[in-house]
Amino acid sequence: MYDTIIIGAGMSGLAAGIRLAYYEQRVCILERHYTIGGLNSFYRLRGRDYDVGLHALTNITPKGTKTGPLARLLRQLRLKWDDFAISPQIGSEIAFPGARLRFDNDAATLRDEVAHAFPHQADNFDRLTREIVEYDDLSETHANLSAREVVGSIITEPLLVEMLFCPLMYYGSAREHDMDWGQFSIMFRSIFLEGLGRPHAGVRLILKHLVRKFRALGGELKLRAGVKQLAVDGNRVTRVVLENDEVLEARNVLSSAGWCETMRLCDDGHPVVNSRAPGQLTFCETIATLDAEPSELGHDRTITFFNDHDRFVWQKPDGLCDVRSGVICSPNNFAYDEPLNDGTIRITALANFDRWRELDEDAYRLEKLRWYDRITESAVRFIPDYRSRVVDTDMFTPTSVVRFTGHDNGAVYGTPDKQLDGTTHLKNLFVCGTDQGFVGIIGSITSGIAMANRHCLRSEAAT
Amino acid sequence: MRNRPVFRLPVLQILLSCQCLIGKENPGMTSADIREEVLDILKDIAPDEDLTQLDDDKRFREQLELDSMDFLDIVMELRKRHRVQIPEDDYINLASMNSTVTYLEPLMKDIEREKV
Repeated sequence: MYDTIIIGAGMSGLAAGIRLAYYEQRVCILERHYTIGGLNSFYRLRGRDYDVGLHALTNITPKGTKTGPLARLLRQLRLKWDDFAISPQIGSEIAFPGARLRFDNDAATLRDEVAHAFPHQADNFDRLTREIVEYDDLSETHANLSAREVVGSIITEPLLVEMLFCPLMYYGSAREHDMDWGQFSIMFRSIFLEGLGRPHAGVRLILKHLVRKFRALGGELKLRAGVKQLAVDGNRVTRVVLENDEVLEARNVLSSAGWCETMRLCDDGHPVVNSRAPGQLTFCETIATLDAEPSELGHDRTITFFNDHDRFVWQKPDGLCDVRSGVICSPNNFAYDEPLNDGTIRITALANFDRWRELDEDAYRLEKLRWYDRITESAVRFIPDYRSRVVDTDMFTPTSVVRFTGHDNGAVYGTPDKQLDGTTHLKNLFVCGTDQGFVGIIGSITSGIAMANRHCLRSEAAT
Repeated sequence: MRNRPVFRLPVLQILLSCQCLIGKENPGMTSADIREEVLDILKDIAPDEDLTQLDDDKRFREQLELDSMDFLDIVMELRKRHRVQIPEDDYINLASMNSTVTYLEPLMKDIEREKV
């Protein structure tokens, strides 16, 4: 009998596991895949290391900062700032027709860029920033306000509004067309006011730290251990049945599998499954290895968010991909002490899961090649053309996302409707991770910690 | 009046522990021991905080960058280290060092102090 069984060894599951194991619970993390990480993972291909998932960590505040999400999660996990070895970004940009805004980990940079490109909006931008700083992310009262309405009422230049939404939606909006004001504020702070960073060794360094810590505290991690069923008796999960028919028991179950995905596992046929629409937003990503550092080719930006028309469209594309907008990331362009081994450019574009899924094997392979080229062609309108320097490539599609995360539709940010308190219709089943409400690496880790604290530690403290 | 210089504490502690060891068979934790223990927990939770200037009368929240998650950790550490159970309704007593020590004294008086 475990105290807590956690479904999924991604960032949120591992973080929750560390919290519970640290306070002497008997914890088991069940991972369907043969490797950890979920959406944020890594692999080795033809002799090179690759990261998949997020391009960078958000919420990067300097070493010694005592407030903010990064400081809080380090404290909670008893990790040191140096454990993550985060190097800050060199600088990113938002590129739209006729306007570019640069930003870095000094919030004043973006403010100056806005004042320069949109002089009449400078005061409005300051007002927006003040509203966001004052927004209390622990109260859930404003969660349902439309961010487009709030931002549109403060910033009166439509192009600037679109430019501000583009990076924030790409890095964390599960909802099409709009975000809720709370989510917008959290994302604005984490990207524009705090900043971006990455460990030299990539996401694997963070995952390895988390796993090592979890195991050192006595936590158990089972790989290739997909959950087939959560057996329900009354209002509790009584048994966790694995795909290999092994049966486990636990007082509490914390699932990062996603809301709909978790509900489907419950064998009580609770109608909750149909009450919440699954997410639709998913990506293709191209990865190109270059024989030079991108900076040698004249590209020094860490992340370039691009859009080729005045309006930024954030919705499931009709075709396989929508290449009108995208995110170009160069993992080389962070302020490391030593350069990376290879030059790399990754490009993310919106994609349609259903269209990718219905392809047969041959067509899938062909479309992958075709859309690799189209995505790259679209991106080099905004950065120097690096195509003659490419020595290796890879690409993932929405079906790859499903394979690694198990999330319906490959929805990278999960369902649009979040379960902020993490509760379900069962007394000892809770959700954490993407569908609880926080996204990104820092967000997922925070989600795991918060839900473990609230549902598996707090109530136990006095018993 | 608190705010006494912290560098004196070890001396005071040694004196206290000697007295206890001589005077009693099963020495429980004194308020000074409890204070030390809470300080140790705070050091663990917030390693970057300078605790030497801590004012025992003032709320932790006003002096340290602690949020509700950190307060849970004080409770959980006490449970982990000393098996002290603190119901959620009593968390309010952990606002300052003085209120914490006062609250914990009856709960910890029977706990044997770790051997020096």
